[in-house]
Formats: sequence, C-alpha cells, structure tokens
Amino acid sequence: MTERTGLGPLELAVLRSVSATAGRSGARCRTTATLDHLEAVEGIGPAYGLSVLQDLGSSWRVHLQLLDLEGNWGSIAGDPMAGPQYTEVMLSPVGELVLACEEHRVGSVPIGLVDGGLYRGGKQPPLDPARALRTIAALLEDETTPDGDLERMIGLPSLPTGGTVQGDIQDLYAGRDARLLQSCRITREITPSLNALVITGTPLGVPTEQIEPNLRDRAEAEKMMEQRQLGNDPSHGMSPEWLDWLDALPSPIGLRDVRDETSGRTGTRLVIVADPGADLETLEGWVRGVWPVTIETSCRFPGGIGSVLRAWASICRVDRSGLDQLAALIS
Amino acid sequence: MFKVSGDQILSRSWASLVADRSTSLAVELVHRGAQVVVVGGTALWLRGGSRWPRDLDLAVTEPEVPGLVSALAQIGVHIRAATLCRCRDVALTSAWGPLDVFVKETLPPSGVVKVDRCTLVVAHD
Repeated sequence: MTERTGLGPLELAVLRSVSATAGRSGARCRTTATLDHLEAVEGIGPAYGLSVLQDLGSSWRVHLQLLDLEGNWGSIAGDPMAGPQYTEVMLSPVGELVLACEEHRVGSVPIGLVDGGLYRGGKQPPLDPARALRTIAALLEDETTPDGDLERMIGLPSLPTGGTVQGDIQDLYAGRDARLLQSCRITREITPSLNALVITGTPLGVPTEQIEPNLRDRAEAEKMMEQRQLGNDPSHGMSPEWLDWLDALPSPIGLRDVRDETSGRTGTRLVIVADPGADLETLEGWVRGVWPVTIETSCRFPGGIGSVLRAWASICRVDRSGLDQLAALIS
Repeated sequence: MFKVSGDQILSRSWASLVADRSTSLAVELVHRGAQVVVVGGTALWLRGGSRWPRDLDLAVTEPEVPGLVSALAQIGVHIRAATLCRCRDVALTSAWGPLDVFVKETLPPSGVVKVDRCTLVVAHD
C-alpha cells in the first residue's frame, strides 16, 4: 500500500488507466478503452480490471468511490453487469484527488484507512469517513490523545452497505485477529394491517437477492423440523403434494411472507411479514440466525487502531491540504 | 405508520443462533438422508469446545456423495455429484452458513453425538 493514500498497486493502476483514457476534465470513456489501456500499459488483464473498476465506483462496496460509473455496473442485489462495451467510466472528484496526492500535488489522503480492505477479501474493516477524518484532525491538534479516546472518536467499523458490526471490537482495536459479526440493519414496521421486520442494510459483500430465498429455505426447514417432532417424517420422500401441504401450514416461527422490495429508488428493502400477534423480537432473533443475514468475518488493524491513526496523522501533519480537500468533498 | 428501531439487539439469543447454525445444518442434512462425518471446528464444538465454528466441515466417502448431494439440494444448495467427486474438496454456502465438503477414501475415527433427536457422527480429532 502506498503511504500517501493507502491504496494498492492494482487500484492505482486502474486509476491511472481511467485517467489516461477518460482524462480529468469530467469526460467519460467507454470501459473497453480503459480495459485495453490497463492491459497494454499496466499489464493487468480485463477480467481482473473489470471487478476492480466496479469495486472502486460502487457505493455498496466502498464509502469513498474513486470512480464515476455510467450504465449497468451491477447492484447491491447482485445483478450482473452489462458488457464493458455498454458502460462508461471516469474519475470521481475523490479519484482525481487520489491521483493528485500520488503525484505529490496535494498532501496525503487516508483512502485506505476509510475504505479498508474487507471489500476485496482483506481483513481491515471500513470506517465512517467523517469520523476517520475528525479523529485524524484531533490527533493533529493533540498527538498525545490516548488510544481509548481515539477508539471512542472513530466508533465502530462502518459498512457502506448499512449493515451493523458487533463482536471482538476490543481485540480488533488492539491489533489482534478479531471475529466480527456483520448483520443486517433491521427496523420494525407496525401498522393496523402489517406486522413486519424490514431489512434496510446488509453485511458487506452480501448480495441482497441471496437473503429472501435463504429465509424461505430456513422457514421451510423449521416446518419440516416441527413435522418430524410430531412424527410426520417424510422418510418416504417428499412428493410435490406433501410439499404443497407443508407450504400451507402456519409457520412455527411466525413468518408469513418475505418480499424483496430492493430497488434503485428505495435502496435495500426486504420486508419480512410476520403473522398477526407474532413476537417480533423472537422472529428477529431467528432472522438474524439465517445466513447471510448475519455473517462472520475475521478482521484486523495491524498494530492496532491507535497505531494506524497515529501513522496517518504523522503523514498528514507534513501537508494537510489533501485531508482538507477530502473533508470538503465528503461534507 | 409506526416504526420502531430494532437494529440494536440487546439479547444474546441471536448470537447463540449464529453459533449453533453449523450444528443445525449438520442435523438438517442427516435428517434428509446424508451419511457424513462432522469434522473440523464443528466437531470440536460438539465435543465441548469453547469457540463456535465459522462453518460446517463434512467428510464423506464417494459412495455416499449422491445422498449428500440430494440432501443439499433439498436445502437449496445445488452441486452435481460428479463435481464433488472430481474436486474432492469443495466450499459451498447455504442458508445455515458456509460448509466445506471433503470427499475421502476413508473416514476419520469418529463417535456419535445426539443433537435434537438426531444422531451425528462426529470425528474424534
């Protein structure tokens, strides 16, 4: 990773290729042109490059998008992208700032600190951008700020997908390997005609289209378990008629229906309709037990969060122009 | 519309549901006819370990692969028996979490653990 931005060689090669093909004046270029350049000049094949382009430009992958993507680049639901001949790419304002920083035209910008490496299979989780910048600014004001205060300022890891994080946070911030549970953000909607849990945020890397079928599979399994306990074990084989009969039975956990209402307009929205009178707290606990509503991730801040933040503050102290420009962009 | 924020789970009940889901997955597969041996972290957990498993590891012999494939299909996990037999070690995901399947010539030494009226064959090591 570079000291100036925290980005790796693959990300920087992609940014350079976008800059070389789309320019820096707000123009876009066809993705195929960028991929051709990436292979010819940087030696990185289009199959690898395309996934990095998607990552760096998607709000469900990273907090700070370095690219501005036009056309169908997939979605949080896990939809397939259009072919690169049908999409376009350009640098975002943050992407332009990153290249300016790498070219020493502005001071360091802690992109790697904010976006982490979890989105690309790494261990460092993402942080809330505003809190990260405020914490570094606080260290610039007072470099003796204790680690405990830094941890309170930085808060919990923050997922661009809106999911929640719990687990071994103490181990994580102490620089040890930590098992974290990423889970969905779930609210309750209770009206005279609806008793429902609504998922509006998900773990990082989980396509929302995986959640509805898995909830249904688990709900069906609960019914089958109940029937086994009642002595109705379908050891003779599950005929379509038996499955229809099972489907019509009330759910032992109070789950009536699951509707995926995720769209570009509403964002992530999965509605879990409960039976009237069902205990929503019990149902929510059950829902959270389903994979990938909650997933486990192994995370680490090498050296500890205090050490990582102090390193960034030390770099930014030399020239805080990059930090100030990034703060202006995200405000 | 009346909304209640419920995204701060204060009880540990859902954490325990996460901890037990690999065991639940093993139970589901055995109930559906799979003949497998639980190995790895789940085996340790079932034998009284303190660290809950990240995933379910299963060992299966080649003759039992079709039964496992059928059980997996019933819970929404689709893989061909020929693929499992060819690849030998495969990582899959299910509504109960990730699982690794290892196709073996011989199964490891194991014993029996009863879970939810189900008899699981669990490796000793």
